[in-house]
Amino acid sequence: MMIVLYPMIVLIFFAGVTPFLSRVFRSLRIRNAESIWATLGFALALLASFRLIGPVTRNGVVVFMPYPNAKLPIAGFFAVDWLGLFASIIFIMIGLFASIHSIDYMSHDTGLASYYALLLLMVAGMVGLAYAGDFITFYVFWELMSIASYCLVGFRKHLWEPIEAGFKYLIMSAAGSAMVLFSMSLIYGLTGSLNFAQVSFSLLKSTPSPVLYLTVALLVAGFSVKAAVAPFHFWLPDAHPAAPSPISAMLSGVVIKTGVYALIRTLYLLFDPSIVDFTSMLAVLSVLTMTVGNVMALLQKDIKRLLAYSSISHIGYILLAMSLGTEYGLTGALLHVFNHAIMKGLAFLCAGAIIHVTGTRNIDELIGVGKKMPVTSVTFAIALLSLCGVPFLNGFVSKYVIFAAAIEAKAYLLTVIGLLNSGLSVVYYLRLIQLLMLREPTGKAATAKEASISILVPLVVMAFLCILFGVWPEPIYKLAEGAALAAMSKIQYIFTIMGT
Amino acid sequence: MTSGLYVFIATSAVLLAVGLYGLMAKRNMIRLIMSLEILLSAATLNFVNFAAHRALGLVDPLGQVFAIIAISVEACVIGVALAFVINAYRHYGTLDVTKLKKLRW
Repeated sequence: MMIVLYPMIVLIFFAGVTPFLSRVFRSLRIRNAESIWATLGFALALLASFRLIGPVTRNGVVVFMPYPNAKLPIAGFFAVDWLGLFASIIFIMIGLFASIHSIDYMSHDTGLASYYALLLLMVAGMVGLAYAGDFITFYVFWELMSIASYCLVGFRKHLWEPIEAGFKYLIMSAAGSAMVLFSMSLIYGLTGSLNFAQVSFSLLKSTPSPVLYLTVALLVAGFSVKAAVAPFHFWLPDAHPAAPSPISAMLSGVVIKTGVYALIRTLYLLFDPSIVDFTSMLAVLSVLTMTVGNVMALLQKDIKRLLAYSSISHIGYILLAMSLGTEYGLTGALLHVFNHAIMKGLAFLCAGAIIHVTGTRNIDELIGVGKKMPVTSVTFAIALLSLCGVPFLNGFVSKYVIFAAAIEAKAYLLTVIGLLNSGLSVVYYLRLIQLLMLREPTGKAATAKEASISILVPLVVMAFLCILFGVWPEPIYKLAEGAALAAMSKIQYIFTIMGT
Repeated sequence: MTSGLYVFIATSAVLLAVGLYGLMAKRNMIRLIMSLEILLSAATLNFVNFAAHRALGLVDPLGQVFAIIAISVEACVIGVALAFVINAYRHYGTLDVTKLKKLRW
């Protein structure tokens, strides 16, 4: 069905038109035209992805065939199930908020046409890889997203920090992509196909072998670089602070989640824990990731770097839930992907608003800034408390599901380590609230004033969503449950696609 | 003909090892990018190799298609990487990555 392609077509069309439009509007002396155009593109793409909800609920998997008469397409094939749709809605939604936030935040920068074109292309890449039904499509969209994100991290190229961080990010991430490509070549050698359903079908009756383990190890290592799993996380604490704040929100909120999505999609669809034991691999990585993220976050003096390390620790919780191998655990993981995208996106956008007004990222210089910026500080406090896991905010719901699933799966050691880490993380979140909002303003913070309306709108909306999904988690829990069920029911996925 | 298969698999394994070694041990930015190229060509070689040995006397177009797509995508990545190198040279006046160490922890 063509309807599958609409979100991607909208995003790529808007990205392609942005530079021309920008030229026209500049000659007419109309400001901010690109940003409003990009926001419109995200809104339309979000509507286009909502139109898929009906068909996906009815059919389970909605496919797009590039050649109508082919029995099973080998490339250019899209198959959307609940997992892909759930992920794509998160990606486009955070893109929309980041785009609105950029209207005022980026207004002092030059080259805005390329900024918005890259932002749209990055989200197009993420949506494409969420919808991909074979490895070729997946790889092309994966690299589209990666290349756009390298360029966006190094966007302010007149400063040294984005260049250094961007180069580090590029080398590590491209090496990860190369490992994924190598793993794909091994999968191709083993099964003779690259279509997810066909590969999964061929591997159903496989026996444990060194080559299979090598394939899974390379796949996990490659995707872990993107998901910032320790010990592959070194690019993240540099790249997130160096990028403009809306891009930090995108990177932390959704780009690292594409790594998680890719891990869930490939591991749960193609391999079985009884054949290749990837769950214990994920459990070890999750403990390492949580601990490294939380301990390093305690030591930070840079507000965005602190939030970047906190992202690493949250990836650890998500991996913990994924390593359980149960449907309940996967529900918790996907719920946390959604909730973390909102709350960490909100935290980075708030930090961006503060940095935009004061011009510094050092926490010591920002003491008391919250008293001067009431709206920003209230939303920032909501984001931070939600990241702690305070009840009636959305972070609590998903953390609760994750630890309940861990206890249900009898993974007591993991539960204890996770809860200890969660307790440790409260220290730096509360310290941030105490320093920024409860002290009297000094220095640069004393002259701060509230940010403009286009910066505040996404903050207020996202803070509202944090509270809404904290007190009423049912609709989003249902969606996550559907996505987890789609990820676990691989036989149904295979037969829906092989049957068509 | 199967011996050809194993020769090429061994070659691609060696290329993978060389690429990883280069990424870890080299200090020059251009050499890092070359190591990245070697790493990617290991995977590409694997695709071509498996496509050629799919069935006796036949070549599978799927693997070759992916090989060509992967090469073109690589070119984009390397282009962006070289742009970063030019900008890094403007800021630091060197291509030595160990000199790029203002960001730590």
